[in-house]
Amino acid sequence: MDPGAIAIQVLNGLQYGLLLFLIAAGLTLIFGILGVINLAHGSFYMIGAYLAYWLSEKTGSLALAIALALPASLLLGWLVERLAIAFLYQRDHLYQVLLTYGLILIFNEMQRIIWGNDVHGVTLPAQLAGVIPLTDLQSYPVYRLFISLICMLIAVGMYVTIHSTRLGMMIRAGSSSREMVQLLGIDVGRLFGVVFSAGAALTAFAGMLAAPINSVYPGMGENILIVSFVVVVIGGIGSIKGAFVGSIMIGLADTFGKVMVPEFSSVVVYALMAAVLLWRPQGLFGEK
Amino acid sequence: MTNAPTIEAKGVHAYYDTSHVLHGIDLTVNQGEIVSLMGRNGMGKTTTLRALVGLIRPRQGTVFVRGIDLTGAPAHQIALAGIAMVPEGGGIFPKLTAYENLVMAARPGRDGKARWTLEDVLELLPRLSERLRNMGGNLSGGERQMLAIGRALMTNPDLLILDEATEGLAPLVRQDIWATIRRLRASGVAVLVVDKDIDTLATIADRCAVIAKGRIVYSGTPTTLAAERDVMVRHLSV
Amino acid sequence: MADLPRPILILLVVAAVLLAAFPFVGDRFYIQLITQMMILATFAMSLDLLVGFTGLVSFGHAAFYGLGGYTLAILTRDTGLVSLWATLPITIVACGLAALAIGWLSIRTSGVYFIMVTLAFAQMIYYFFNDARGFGGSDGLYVKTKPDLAVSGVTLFTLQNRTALYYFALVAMLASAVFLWVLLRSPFGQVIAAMRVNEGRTRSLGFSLGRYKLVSFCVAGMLAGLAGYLGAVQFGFVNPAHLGWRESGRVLMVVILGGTGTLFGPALGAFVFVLLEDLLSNLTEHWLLLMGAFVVAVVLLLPNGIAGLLLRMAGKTSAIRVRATASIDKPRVVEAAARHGPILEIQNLTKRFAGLAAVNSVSLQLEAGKVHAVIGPNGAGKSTLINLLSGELPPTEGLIRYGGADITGAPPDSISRMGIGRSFQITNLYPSLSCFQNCRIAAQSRLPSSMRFFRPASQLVEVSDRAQRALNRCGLSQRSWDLASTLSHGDRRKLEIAMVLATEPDLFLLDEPLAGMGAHESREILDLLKSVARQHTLILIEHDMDAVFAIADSLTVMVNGEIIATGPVEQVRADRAVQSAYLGHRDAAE
Repeated sequence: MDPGAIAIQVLNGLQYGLLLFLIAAGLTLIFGILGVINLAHGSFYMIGAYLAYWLSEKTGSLALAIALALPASLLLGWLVERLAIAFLYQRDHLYQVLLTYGLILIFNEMQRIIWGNDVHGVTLPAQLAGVIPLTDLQSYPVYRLFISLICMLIAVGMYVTIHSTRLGMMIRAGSSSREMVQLLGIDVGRLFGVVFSAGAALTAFAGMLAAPINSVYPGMGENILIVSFVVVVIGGIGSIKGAFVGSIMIGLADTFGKVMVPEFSSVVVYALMAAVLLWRPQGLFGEK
Repeated sequence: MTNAPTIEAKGVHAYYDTSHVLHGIDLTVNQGEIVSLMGRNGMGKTTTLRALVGLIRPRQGTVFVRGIDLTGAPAHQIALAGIAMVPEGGGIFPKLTAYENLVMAARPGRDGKARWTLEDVLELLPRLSERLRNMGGNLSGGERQMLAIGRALMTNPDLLILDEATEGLAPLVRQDIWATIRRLRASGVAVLVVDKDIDTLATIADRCAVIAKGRIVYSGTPTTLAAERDVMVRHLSV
Repeated sequence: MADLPRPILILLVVAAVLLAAFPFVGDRFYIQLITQMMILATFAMSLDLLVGFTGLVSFGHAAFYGLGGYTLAILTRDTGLVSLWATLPITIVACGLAALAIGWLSIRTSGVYFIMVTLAFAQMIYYFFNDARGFGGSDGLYVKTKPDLAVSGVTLFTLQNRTALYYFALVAMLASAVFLWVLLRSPFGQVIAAMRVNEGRTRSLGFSLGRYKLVSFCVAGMLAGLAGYLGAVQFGFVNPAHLGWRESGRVLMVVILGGTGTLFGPALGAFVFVLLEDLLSNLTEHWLLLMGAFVVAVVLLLPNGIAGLLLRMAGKTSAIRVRATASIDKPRVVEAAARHGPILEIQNLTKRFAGLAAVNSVSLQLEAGKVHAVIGPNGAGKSTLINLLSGELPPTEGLIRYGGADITGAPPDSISRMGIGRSFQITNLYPSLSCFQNCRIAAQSRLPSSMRFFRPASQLVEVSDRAQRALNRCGLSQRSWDLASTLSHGDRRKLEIAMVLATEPDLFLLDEPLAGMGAHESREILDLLKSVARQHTLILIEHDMDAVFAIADSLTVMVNGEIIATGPVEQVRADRAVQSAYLGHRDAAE
């Protein structure tokens, strides 16, 4: 491959990885802080995408659609946490898996009822629809760079929140000792609600951002869910740093895999996971 | 209401599964006083404390905080009512810095006044000012206990509960902690202390209670306790 | 588990008979539907082995189901094989090998990681069959010819025939059930049952759990392959969806709906589930919504599934009815204290954690047949000392000699086999097993190997005897068949001691046996300990001084990881340094 092509694949890989990070970060936090394995996490990705599609059709503007869809996702996340997830704290993982699996079925079917089985596209806003030239022969879509940029900003924002704000302190403390946090007068239930909603909204936002590139179709949540599980396993449960490193690794591995071994590209991601597990069963940054 | 005891447990019974571990505990701490709770291990001291702060729900009996019935209330509510507990070992968060540990839950007292600010806490516990940037997990045992006490004070409580705050610490460090507790009483915070150092407790506490096998077997002042050789020998010494 | 209440046994037998008779009266559609149910039942039972009995929640079990189908399809397409004799064993072996590979990688993880890892590996297989050339892509493959069974050139039946397939599926389901039942009654089965209830305790009894999990995983994979084989025969094709996570979720749902850990539950669950799917899909196009709501409702309302409901209705409160295979009153020959001289010698034993010495250069000699108490403030290193002696922790420095032999650094199972038993400070029992089963697994841990699959564990008479004797010694014979979770705190401590007795040690290490006991319970445990002390050597950590003085011959006081006094009880008691360590005199020599 010539340098230009390699550069494009690297950019693609990074963009995919950064998008994955939004989803995996939420998943790993929810597991690390709340102790809940949430299979319906991918459904928020799908909900975000569909909301983006639907609202942008209605309003004619993707930006406006996202502006409306984000608070809606936060609210939905909060409701799901209060009405379903709250029953799962301290319960066996088996029941968590099953209940959230049931939620997947419900969400998927509701999506079908509301929006049908068709695949939908989302139009890019004109300002972002262009390309940037990289070399004499190759150029790169502006929108993809935009996605990468936004995701990086969010990653930085997350880092700042977790390391410099009181909320971040509570989140880090909550993963060591729920009981001590309560003894200090902090309502752990509300903390969980905030963490869950934030995770759900981030995932939904990823769906909204990705919609113009990946289009919007039934079942899109599950594919990304499983990949984000792989990211979390590789990175280590509860570690945002791990989620970041894992996402970038998977993003690059998958992208280059598609180019270099197209027939087995999907397998590359899992082979990577197997390799990491052989070396460190608790993930790169996980705790034993 | 203004003179109501800071915390009052009456007839508290508690269970671990089917095991009856607290049999009708009566314990009161009045405003500004220091009360010590003593007894050998496994007798129910920590269980009593946990029942007071809401980590265990009493099956029978009541817990009043400043005259308000908070029996069975969730732990964070009791904490917000002005009760701060330092559990055995301190319970500081290892992945947060000492500064973050102190600041995370800091709030003004119930009356809106912040009698304990960061500066006040650091003045009380000067060793911490050199360690503010260190991770909680990297502090020594004594520093962790100090940090835990400081963290509790930052919530400006009416009552500070200390569970074995000097356990496993070197004698000099223990001295420091006792001195700290003495200075606390001057500031008006009530303290409930569980410890094995009976002699020092006798010089600090206003009142003491002895617990054995889940029951309060003695309640009085340190002087009268010292006179009760029988209680001393049966429940406290080797 | 092996002994079901009579009403349920009758129900199952009647059901089997009805199933056998059905093709004579039923119509084609229902024969096909019930075949589907029976195949799903086999699939579900195989997953129950993993989830309900071994405690491994796999979200990728459909991979083996699909693999079974694909193996058959490939065999019939690429080789000329149509015989059941050939295709079925090959399929099962292929699935077993795949399970071995995936299992070996997955079992390195546990808990949530395991769930995610099995999910991911299944997806890997899904994408492999979906993307690779030669497997029909997302359309999948047809099963060209359905297998038949021929003996000496005479074709007995072909699975092309709907009724033949029905009966074959019925036989497969019943055979799988019987096979699993036999497996679960074997010593192997006892270990995995114990592992699922309390993995930590089972590990400290010395069982190497990875091996047991792997065997379980492979057996489950092979049975799932059998189900997949039959599924492919029934529908005549396989496609990647059969391997996908939805299929894995579906079968997991069936297992939970039926009731994990019962075998018959998931089988029943399969029947109910297929019926439900059929009904709901005829109700509305969006039946998955109803199915999802149903799943949520089952999780919240019926956590023990249909089997749980049935068992409750059959009035089952205790674990199993009495299977009196153990002879109850054979008295053990009283010996042990015939030895003279020190039974345990510790020299300069040190354990450091990150530079901090929890146990610092401890030296001690203990006499056989005596009771030796270790006391001291919290954090003095007493529990660490016990952990060093029992092999849970390796020492940083120093020597431990038991009966003259050097046991420094030996692992817990060797130490247990040498005759040192320990009880835990926080009772570490198997709550959902009966008292007898608790003691039996402890007794079984002393066998050289529990990897025996086909004889029932109850035939290990020595093991059962030891367990029952231990229970009797501790006054728990009346509660032998009650679940450990129904015991009072004091009785649980007695069971903990009984478990140690069941391993027939000479030296007992007891970590705060009276912790959390009320006065009455303390007395009972103390009496038990006194009786045990007559035939064993005891090392006891305790805080209850009344108890210590009532039972101990010698006393060691530890403070900050070091011994500050040791010797006969009265002498140590009078020692000033000891008094100051407890009462905190500042002026003592320190």
